[in-house]
Amino acid sequence: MKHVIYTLVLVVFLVSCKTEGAMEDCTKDSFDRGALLTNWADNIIIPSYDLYVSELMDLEATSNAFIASPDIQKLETLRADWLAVYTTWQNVSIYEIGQAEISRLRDYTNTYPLEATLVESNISSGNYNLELSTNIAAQGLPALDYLLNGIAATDADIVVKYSSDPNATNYKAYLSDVVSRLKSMAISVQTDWKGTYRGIFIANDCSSSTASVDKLTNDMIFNLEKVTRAAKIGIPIDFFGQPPMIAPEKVEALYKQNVSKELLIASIKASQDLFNGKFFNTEEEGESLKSYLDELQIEAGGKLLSVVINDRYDAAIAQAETLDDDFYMGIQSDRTKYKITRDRIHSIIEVLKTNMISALGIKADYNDSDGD
Amino acid sequence: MKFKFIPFIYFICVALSIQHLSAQKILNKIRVSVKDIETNQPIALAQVLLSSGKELGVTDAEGSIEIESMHEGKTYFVIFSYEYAILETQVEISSNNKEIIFKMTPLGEVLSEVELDNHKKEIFNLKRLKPVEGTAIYAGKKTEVVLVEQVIGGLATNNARQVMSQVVGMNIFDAGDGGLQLSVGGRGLDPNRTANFNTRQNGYDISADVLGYPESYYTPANEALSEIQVIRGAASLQYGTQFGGLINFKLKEPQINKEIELVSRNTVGSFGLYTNFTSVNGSIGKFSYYAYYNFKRGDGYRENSNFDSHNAFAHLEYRFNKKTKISFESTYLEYLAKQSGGLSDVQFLEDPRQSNRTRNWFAVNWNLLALKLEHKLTSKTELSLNVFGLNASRKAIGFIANYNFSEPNPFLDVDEQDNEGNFIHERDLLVGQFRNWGAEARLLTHYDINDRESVFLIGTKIYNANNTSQQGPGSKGTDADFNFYSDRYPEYPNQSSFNYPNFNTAVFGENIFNISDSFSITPGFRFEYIKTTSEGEYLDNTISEFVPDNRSFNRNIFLLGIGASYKPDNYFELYGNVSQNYRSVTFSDIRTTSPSFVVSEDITDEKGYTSDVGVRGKVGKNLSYDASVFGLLYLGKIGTNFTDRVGWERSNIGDAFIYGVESLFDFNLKNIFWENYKQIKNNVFINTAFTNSQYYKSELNGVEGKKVEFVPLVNLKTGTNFGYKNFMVGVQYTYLSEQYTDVTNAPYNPNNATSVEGAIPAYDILDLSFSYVYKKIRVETGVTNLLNNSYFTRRATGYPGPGIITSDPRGYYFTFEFKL
Repeated sequence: MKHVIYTLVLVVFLVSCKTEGAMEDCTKDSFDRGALLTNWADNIIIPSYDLYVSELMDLEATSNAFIASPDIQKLETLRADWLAVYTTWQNVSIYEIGQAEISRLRDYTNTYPLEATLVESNISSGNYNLELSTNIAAQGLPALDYLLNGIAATDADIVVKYSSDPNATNYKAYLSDVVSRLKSMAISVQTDWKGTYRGIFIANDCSSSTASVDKLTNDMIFNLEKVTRAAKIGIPIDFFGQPPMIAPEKVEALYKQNVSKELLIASIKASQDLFNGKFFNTEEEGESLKSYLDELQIEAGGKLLSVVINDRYDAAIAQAETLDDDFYMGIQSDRTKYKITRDRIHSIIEVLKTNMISALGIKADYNDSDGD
Repeated sequence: MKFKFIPFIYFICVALSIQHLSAQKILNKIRVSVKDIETNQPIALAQVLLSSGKELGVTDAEGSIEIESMHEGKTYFVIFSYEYAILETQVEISSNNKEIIFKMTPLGEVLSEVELDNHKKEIFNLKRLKPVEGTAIYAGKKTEVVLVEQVIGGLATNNARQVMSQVVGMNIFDAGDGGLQLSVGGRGLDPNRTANFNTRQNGYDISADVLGYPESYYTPANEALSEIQVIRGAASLQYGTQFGGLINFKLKEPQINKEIELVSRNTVGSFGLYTNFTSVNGSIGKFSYYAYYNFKRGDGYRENSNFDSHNAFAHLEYRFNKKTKISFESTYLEYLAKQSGGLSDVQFLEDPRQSNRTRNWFAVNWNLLALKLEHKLTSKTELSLNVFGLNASRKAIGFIANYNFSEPNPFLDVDEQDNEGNFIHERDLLVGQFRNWGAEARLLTHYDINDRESVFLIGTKIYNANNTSQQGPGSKGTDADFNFYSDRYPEYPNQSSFNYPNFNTAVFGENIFNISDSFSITPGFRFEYIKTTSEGEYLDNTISEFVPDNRSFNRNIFLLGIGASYKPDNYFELYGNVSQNYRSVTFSDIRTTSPSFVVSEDITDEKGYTSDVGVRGKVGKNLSYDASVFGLLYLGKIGTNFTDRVGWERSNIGDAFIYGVESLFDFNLKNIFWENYKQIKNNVFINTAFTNSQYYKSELNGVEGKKVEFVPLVNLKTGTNFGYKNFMVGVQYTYLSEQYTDVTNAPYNPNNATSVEGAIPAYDILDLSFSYVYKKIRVETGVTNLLNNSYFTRRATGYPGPGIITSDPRGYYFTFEFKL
């Protein structure tokens, strides 16, 4: 019987020796996730923020000039700057990670449809706090869309709102507040990336639900699903409705009207560029989800999975090109081609959300709301 | 004291061998009388045992007991009565002696704490390894018992880390709420509300719903306990089927020789802690009682926390005669706690005291009734019947998440206030009501197969529950208002109302077959019929309408298990067991509260096996041990997965294996260093669990090959107790290595400000306790977390966080007790 005891003591001893090694730092496969993260941070995300912030600064300057002496010409300049910001935003929208996630950058920047009545009541009372989530649908780029395009029927009447209208001071203040909140939120995220967050983001190169690759990949899919597919097309055309009750007033850039297609295509392209690791605003490519899949030699239906994915992105963009510039009118005249575009985007999501993440061992994000 | 262990064991061996050699002839009735050696007066209520631990009975008022069917030859008896020295003696039994008289020596006027402790421990050691107790079979199982009265520190504060320090592998949430909520797990099972154990008090269930909602909101005050009994996974056959096994809280029993004894304890401690524990107990004739009241209040270590709790318990029993006893128990618990929410890693490192939840409250009301009938049908057959009922509620109100955002995130969302300082969000209110009753009957009989005694147990259980849960909008205020404001905030997204009628019957049996004098095999079975039902509706936010969701799962489950014990002598046992376990699908597993996911049509209970192989006993007179290896196979863990066909689907998605080595060694240093000083007590214990685990199959991406959450590789508790006369001191050191909290094994990240997931870093805690007794007065004091380590043991995914739930830094307590 002593032997049994000795054996057990020995086992205990051996196991305790083994504990010296403790837990391995993290799980990894053969692919260099650090290089992927570095490419994302240095060549895609940070350059996107740089451009976005500089465009917001231009916007602020033109907005200040407009507020100082409103006229139609300055309004046009302001609209052009707003559109540039909105287009770049389609890239930035994807990176809901780090400070952007904490400050809810996407919700405060681009929640639509806008609550125009809330904007008007904020303006007339002059008493509002844009930092409260109750004002989420009364600020951001959709609020600027309204302030620059929607508050009156003609350009001349819009200028009147900022000059001779009894509430002109409040309109100017609101415009200024919306612009400066957009800018300050963007700058705080940009500053964080350029400060400590870049290092934290790249160092978190493991494979787990909190790892950078896992999180940003989930962000990319989420953006394509909820922001691109659902918000830009699915909801306005009431995709699931039986029968559908189309809601053209829910399109992006409702008041400008002729830029919805542009913004949609920018959004799909931003997603595809991130997938391919394409440097922001250049043609060069670096380590990416595509190179990750290729390194692991993942195939689907006899083709490289990355090729399948790119084919689907291309098909979705090609279909989107057939849409009207103005979704508000287009949806009402021919819902079907919007539905097809929505399905094409969905087919990208399908393959990303099943084949790709399973090949890369990335667990789909899910917030369980069961409580206790 | 003349008592020495070596000769004792020697005699037992001799006694055993002789007893078995002459096992042929069985004699009929023998009368055993027990008397005081000095006065020659009979001693009532003395326990008479064989050295094997088998209990022959308790003496009556005349100090005697009649024993049937004794074997002829030398027999070794052990007799004890609390006021006398333990008597062990060998008697030659032959056909011509009809009466044996034992004379016991009184323990003397006043015993020191050390002497009393030693005395109790001796009695316990005699009883502990019994294969059968009452109507329960323990043979071949891994059982652990905490003698709560011998615990030096942490009683008034219900500090499980200290009280359960000698239970192997316990993973404990150190919540710092005065011990209101016990959360212990082990072997990779979630500690939350001790849900992976079948939790009982004096043998009956106390959790919210044994199958559908196994969380325990109530556990009795440690100051009222005599023992905490733990039986690992193999308890699945006789008790609940949980993987963790059984935890049974055995309360103190009434004193038999006193009409009234009153104990009052008052404790003050750090962070505004005040507790009062007052108990009365005694016996009047055939009637005995034990009752206590326990009040607790505290401010908590963190901001925005406090609690106020009232707990009362009464046990009444009436012994009709030696054969029949009936007892009735009633338990009441009511508490209100303000909860400070959770923190991110960044916030925790910045200041673990901070809180960003200022209006979260939690209230529990628990009412339990139990009636127990114990009856000896014959000298070989016993019957017990337990009937119990629960009427309880738990209510939680608090700010959960900001639903103005596209992705509400309880972890990131702040509880916003407007410019006037008023909160702008209605709080989430979740109310659970639990009404259930059950009955469990057991029959145990001893019978012979080829002159060897076998023991057969058969039991049945019926359990009927009718629970409800409702979730919806609470007020926008800051007080503990547990009313729904559904009319005022009809748009509130998290609204649901469910009824959970649940029905369960079980039949179970076990039999000890003694194959030889030293080897026994105990096979067993359990058959269950379970009907888990969920009926109700939830608000579908996409269409702003309530949608019904009714589900019912009926199934029959048949479990088997087998245990074996090889016990060649009284100081060594090799035991082993394998048994099937399962975790019933719970209500929250089968209901949906969101249209975005579905419950798989073939979702089923999580099944598996547990097995222990171990040795326990004593080496020489200075080392006692229990060391074992275990394996736990967990099949069909329930989870939510994304599938391309239906979107999010909840189903059985993963299989895991958890295995380890668990051991408890207790060295009696007194015999080595202070052998001749009977007023000294000194021991060192080392309690270690080395556990490893792996998900070897999973339908979730990135999970296969990962470790199971809540499994620290090393779980060590070690300490020493030293006593001199009436003074005791205990030092305890606890160390747990790093453990993951999610299936993807998210590592610890000190920069994390956005995620609830992440490992819990390794932590170590040093606790120091003292006690001193002077006549009727006892004082206890101690320092918890002497090293003042800043640590946490829990990351809550939702309630009561979300996020890191901080554990307490260094704290002090002081207890003053007097006894009348």
